[in-house]
Amino acid sequence: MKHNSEEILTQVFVHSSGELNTDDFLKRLHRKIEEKKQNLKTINLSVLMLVALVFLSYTKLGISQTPEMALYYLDESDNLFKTDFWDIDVDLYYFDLDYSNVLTYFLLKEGDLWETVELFNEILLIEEES
Amino acid sequence: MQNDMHRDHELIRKFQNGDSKSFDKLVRIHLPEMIGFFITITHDKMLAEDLAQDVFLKLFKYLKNFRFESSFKTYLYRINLNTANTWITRNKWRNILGLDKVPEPMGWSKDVENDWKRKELKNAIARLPKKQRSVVLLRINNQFSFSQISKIIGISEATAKVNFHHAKKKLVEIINET
Repeated sequence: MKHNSEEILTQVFVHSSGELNTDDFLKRLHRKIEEKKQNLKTINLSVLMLVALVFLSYTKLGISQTPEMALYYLDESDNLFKTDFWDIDVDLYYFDLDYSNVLTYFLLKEGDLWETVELFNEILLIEEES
Repeated sequence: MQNDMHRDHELIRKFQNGDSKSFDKLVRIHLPEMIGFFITITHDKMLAEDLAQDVFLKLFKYLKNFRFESSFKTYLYRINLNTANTWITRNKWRNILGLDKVPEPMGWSKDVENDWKRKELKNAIARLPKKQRSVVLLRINNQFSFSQISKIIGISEATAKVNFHHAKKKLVEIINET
């Protein structure tokens, strides 16, 4: 009885798979494998590009990482536009002679003669110290 | 049986070492049985081939990590069964909504009767609990022993027998009713 009912189920349920073209199946399978590999490559490349874009945006497009860096940039731009000689960071024209020349010319053009003399004295003083 | 296992393991080792032809050989060996398994469930050759493609795609990816702890056939049937169960669950709604119903036959013949019974049985199997369904599929479809079934599903032999007994009772009732 036990085996009989199993046989009935098998007879009803199982039927032949018919003819099977294995070569065609393999061809389709390999095509799918290649497609999957290509998709994976595309996804990886997209993720890499996204990471690179985020990195470049974060570092190169003016977004400062820390408050200290933001203050540093702020200080630098302030220095460039300041006309008051005493406020200007001395190190700047010690390391950059062109900047001192431009500043001297600017002070003379503005008519600040005494400021210009003070600037020359300061430069001489720095040279003596070093 | 033991020879088959060694042959499969040898092919997998070669595939893991970069020989893609070995994978093709593995496909050629196991494809007919796999297609038979899926045709029995789907009653559609194209659909069965699609499911077999899915299985071999998974195998291509995961076979590189095969650890030779069990026979390849057990491993393969575990994937087959998972794929079949996923497909059955996905198609349950089709069965419930009657989208897959066989039209009323015009003339009655033995073939039509069998086809009708097959569809009814397929719907009945889809309604079985997952464990019972898995045991039935492996037992009826592939004539696996309960020891093999227990290894594939990961249950004890006794549990496999009990599940099969309950499922069979339900299915035979359905066949006798129709």
